[in-house]
Amino acid sequence: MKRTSGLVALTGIAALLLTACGGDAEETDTGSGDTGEVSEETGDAAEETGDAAEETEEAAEGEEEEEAAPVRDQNAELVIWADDVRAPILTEYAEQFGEEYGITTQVQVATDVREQYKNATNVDQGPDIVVGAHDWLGEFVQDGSVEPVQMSAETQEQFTPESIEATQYNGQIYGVPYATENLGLIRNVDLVPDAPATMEEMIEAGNALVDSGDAEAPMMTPVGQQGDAYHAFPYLSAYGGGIFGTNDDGGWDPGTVIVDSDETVQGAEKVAWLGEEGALSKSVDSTTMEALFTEGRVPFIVTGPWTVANVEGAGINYEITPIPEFEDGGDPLPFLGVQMFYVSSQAQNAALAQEFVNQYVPTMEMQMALFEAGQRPPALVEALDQVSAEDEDIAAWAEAGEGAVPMPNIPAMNAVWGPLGQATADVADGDDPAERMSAAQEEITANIG
Amino acid sequence: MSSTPQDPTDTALADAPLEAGSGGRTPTPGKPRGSVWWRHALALLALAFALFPIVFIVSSAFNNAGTLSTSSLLPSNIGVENFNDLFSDSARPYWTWFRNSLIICGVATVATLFLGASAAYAFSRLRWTGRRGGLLFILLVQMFPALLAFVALFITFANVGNVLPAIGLNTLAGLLLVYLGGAMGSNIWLLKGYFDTVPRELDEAAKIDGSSHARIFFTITLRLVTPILATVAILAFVGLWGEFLLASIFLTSADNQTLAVGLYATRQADQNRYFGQFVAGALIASIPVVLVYLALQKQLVGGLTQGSVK
Amino acid sequence: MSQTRSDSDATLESFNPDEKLEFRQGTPLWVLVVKWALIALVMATALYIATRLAAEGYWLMVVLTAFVGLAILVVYAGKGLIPLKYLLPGVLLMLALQIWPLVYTVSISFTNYGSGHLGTKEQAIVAVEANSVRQVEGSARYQLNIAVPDGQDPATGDLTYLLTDPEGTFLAGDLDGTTELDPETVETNPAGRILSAEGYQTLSATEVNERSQDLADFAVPTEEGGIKQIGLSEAFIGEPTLVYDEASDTITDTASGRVFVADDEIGNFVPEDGVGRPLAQGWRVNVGFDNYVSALTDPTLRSGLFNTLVWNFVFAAVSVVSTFLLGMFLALLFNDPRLRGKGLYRSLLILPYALPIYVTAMVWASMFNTDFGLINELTGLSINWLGDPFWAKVAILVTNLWLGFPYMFIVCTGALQAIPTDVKEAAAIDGAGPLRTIWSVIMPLLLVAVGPLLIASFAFNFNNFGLIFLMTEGGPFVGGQSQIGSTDLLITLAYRLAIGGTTPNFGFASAVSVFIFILVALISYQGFKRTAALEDVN
Repeated sequence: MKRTSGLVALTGIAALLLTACGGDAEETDTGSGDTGEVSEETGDAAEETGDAAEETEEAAEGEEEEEAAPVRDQNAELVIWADDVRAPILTEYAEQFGEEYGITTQVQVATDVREQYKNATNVDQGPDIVVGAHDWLGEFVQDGSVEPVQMSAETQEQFTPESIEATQYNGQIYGVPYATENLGLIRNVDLVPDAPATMEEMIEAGNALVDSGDAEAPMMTPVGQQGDAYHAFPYLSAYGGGIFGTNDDGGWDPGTVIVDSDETVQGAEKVAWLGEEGALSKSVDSTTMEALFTEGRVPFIVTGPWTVANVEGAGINYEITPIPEFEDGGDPLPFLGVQMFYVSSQAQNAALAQEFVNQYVPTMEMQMALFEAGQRPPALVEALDQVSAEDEDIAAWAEAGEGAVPMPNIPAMNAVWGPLGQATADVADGDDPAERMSAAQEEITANIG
Repeated sequence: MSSTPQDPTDTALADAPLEAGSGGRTPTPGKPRGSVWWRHALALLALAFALFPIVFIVSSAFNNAGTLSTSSLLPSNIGVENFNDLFSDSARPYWTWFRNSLIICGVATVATLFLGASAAYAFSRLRWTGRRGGLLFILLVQMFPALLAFVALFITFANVGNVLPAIGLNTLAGLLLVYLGGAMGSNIWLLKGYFDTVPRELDEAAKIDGSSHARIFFTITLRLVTPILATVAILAFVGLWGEFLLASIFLTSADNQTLAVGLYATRQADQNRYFGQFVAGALIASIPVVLVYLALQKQLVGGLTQGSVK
Repeated sequence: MSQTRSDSDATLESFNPDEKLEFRQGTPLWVLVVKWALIALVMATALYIATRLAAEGYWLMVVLTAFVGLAILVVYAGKGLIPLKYLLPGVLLMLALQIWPLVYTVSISFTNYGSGHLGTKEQAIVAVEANSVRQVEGSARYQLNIAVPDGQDPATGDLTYLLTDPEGTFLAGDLDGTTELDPETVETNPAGRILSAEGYQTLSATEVNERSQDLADFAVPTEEGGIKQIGLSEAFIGEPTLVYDEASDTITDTASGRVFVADDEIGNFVPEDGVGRPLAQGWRVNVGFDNYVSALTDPTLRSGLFNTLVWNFVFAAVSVVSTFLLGMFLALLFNDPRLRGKGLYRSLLILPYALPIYVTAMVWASMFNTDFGLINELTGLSINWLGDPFWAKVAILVTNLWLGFPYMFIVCTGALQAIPTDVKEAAAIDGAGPLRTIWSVIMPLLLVAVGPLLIASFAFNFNNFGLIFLMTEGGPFVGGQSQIGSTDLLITLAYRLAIGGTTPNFGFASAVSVFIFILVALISYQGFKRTAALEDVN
């Protein structure tokens, strides 16, 4: 996670900067004209008749013809952007939708859906529908790039309550969910046959393996040098702590940061304890954790459904369970992430987009198909029940996510990840929990401004 | 460029004084003195440094678990599964990316050479006011933090795309164009420096013969600067081959992406899930660079300027 | 000399003495033909672009295109302006694709561009209102079809909603309100949605889609509120809860009665009572030098500036020197004809350069892992590489040496070829040993050739954002904070500040970058004055 977030940050920043400056037609004119001069470089050749230049020109021309696809396919009437995992399956359904309504559709794979969507929408070259995570919502709303979906109360009831909660911002629903994901505990069954009942038991079992030289650490959760607030959150929340308080209409209130609350600090003390026991360490990031687990050298890891494919690939005999409770009653609750369909506020085909999202996405068929592609618990209750009955892993993920709180989707979260992550890493590394958390609190409130 | 003769005697002569124990006496070309084993030893040391981390990449590429093993070199599940996945993944068209990259880098490299060389010729051989200022200005422009300027480029090309869709966002042609913007600036100093070392007597002689500036440039100067052209070609090719920040902003849909962007996205997709595929792809992606280097190596070191000139 | 000649002739047309004499008068015909054909092609392209621009209404750009086209014609058609013949293509590309973005970026630094401040005030108001539309509590949902009255053009006709309410009543709704339809005259699907109704022609999905603009402003008034469609087959009664009032330039929350006042200084609607946060959607305004002032006064930036600046210099300088020395050393090492397998060595040596940085930086970071990394494991050390401020810097420098030396190796190998053999011979004859020769003869000559490149490399590393972010993200962060990391460069620090808040601010990032740019430019200029490179220009 840590390395990945570094990567994300890298393009994220460039892309984010993009978003920052809107499509501003008059000012950019100079650029567009000058760039018209492509052929000048060949025109230069004109003068001197170099062979190299001729080559250049031919190549350039040939290639233009072949690759002249704009960001948005102008011929498609409904354009959907999704990540490369979901896009293939969506293509099928979009085509079916297209046939029913006599329109053409196109599903495009975006590599960094979030940033690319923001950038493209900002210059009016975005899609009609975008598929992504719920915690993008606050920023999308702030940028005015998504439209509410006005889901009926009936439809809302067909989804798990948490997933609907996640699609809301300021009490308004902005998307239709299709899957959820959350952290859980993956255990190497060959190393520890039975699931531990408590955190303490787990650490004990893990340390026994460490002592006998069969394991590198009793348990691993990605931390990294800069910490990882997402993975540390279950511990922080175990005693009712969290990041933001709520406002009157039940939404997250960026004005109330509760990182230094007694509850959160109590959770942070457990982080310190886990650090002492060797379960949380700055040396462990997601890459290291995954490598060691797939080599059978760690009995337990706290991770999400994304790791399963590689664990399976390595031939590890595993089981997924909820993160165990602490003996004194603390119950670690992970963040819930919800995947959903957004409708762009700049949609060129708003009516079709709304129709697809409101009438197609909530169907059993579609939710099941998306499950097949992404292997995450569906958000539609009926689909979830069916999948859970058939697939142990999914049932286990859903169980691990019981009671999980949707990750705050307000833009202020942007100011939280860095300081909170670092604070948890420092606490695991031996800093005083109360002091370090209150320092983090200060940083976060200052960042939010 | 392709027909540069190599004169081994020249090179031998050129380097003889560097050889250990030459003791200050003029060595005789063609007659090796002393041994070269220490060069091999140092070379192997350098190779160890260069290749050490790459061993990990190779090892992960053949690790069926698809993870990066940090502390052991041999993965527990050796196999080619990652490669199979890579080639059969319909959502990640590896060979399309490969082709796109070859097109972009190939065309841009040739164009960069041409633009750079003609500019360097003007700066080195022709006399005009503002040369010195121009050179400095070009260098300074290169120092602006590029990351920031991407924003302006993105917005600019979004607008260009409205007028000329063929070179708008998400087109290889557009990206190619952006890359060419830096073609002159990034290499001008290197090229000019080398151009300066080519004796003017040759041009003068040709001029007296009545050759035009164009004829001198194409038939004489370009031939004499082959090593630096090869150098710039390699630098340009490699630089563009690995470029992903700008390309990832520019190219959004999978079919239009370059290798660097596609792989980068593979790395990012669903946490570490496609890590094995990503590493396998990165490994194959390094092959063209090595091939380009091998192809140009002869030109790179087979300079014409020595011996034949002075 | 003769060798060069004969070689040149191999690829071009034969180069006999007679032709040489004629050359001034008669450029070969094919050269002329190709030259004019290409000029014509460029002119045609310029014309095409100008036409397209004119069609889109970018008149200023048409003028610019015409100007550029004319410039090309003047430069290439005539005999004079020889330097421009060589420079024009590169210069035009540079102007359009390097200078222009730079100017644009600087202009952004005077605004509050950033998340939440992207567009115009009008766009912000539209977004605020649209996002606040809520279903009126307890109101009904309708099944919907969209139609126009018979005889009207689907593309322009009066829009009508054909509605089925929960009780099964059929309604036709237009801008005047709803009228009940006779059940006898409508045809429905099993669920009750109207498929057709007498007197109306329903619109196909494509037709509806084409009228998206009209539909966006369309609502059927009722006592409870306006009926709006959701997609093609559903409708609800909704009302905006946030309403803009143009006269007072305020937005009122109809539910709570709170008023938000437009503040054109900061580009946000702020609460009138001063309590709470502004509305999320803001707009872009000019802020003058505010970004520059806040960059100069930012407490984080100020407190960390000195250390960061020092490290930034050390990082850039050490990176350049170390990569250059290693690259040069290897170039010299392999510049020996007797060494067998040079080709193989060289091509393996450039591998670090051939792999994408995001692969290799990650591998290095893994190798530097304190507990599980290969480096500690092999050396038996237990250095906290990436967690200790000093060692993290070392790790970064080692990694950058690895990443950068192949570049210098290639450059030096190329540049070495330019050093005349006789210089080296002369040095050897003078009795200089090999090291002496390298130090006092080859190095200075090499530096003349690659000096400017070293400066460019310094500038690149000064802003080497990618490496720092991929390796350490600026960390480790010591002292219980997460604002200033030990390996932060100015640029990574600036970005963290610019984007780390609720509303990432690109204007601020631009302002800081302009500072950095000025700094680097000044240093580089000084560096220049010291190198022989400049003298060479004269």
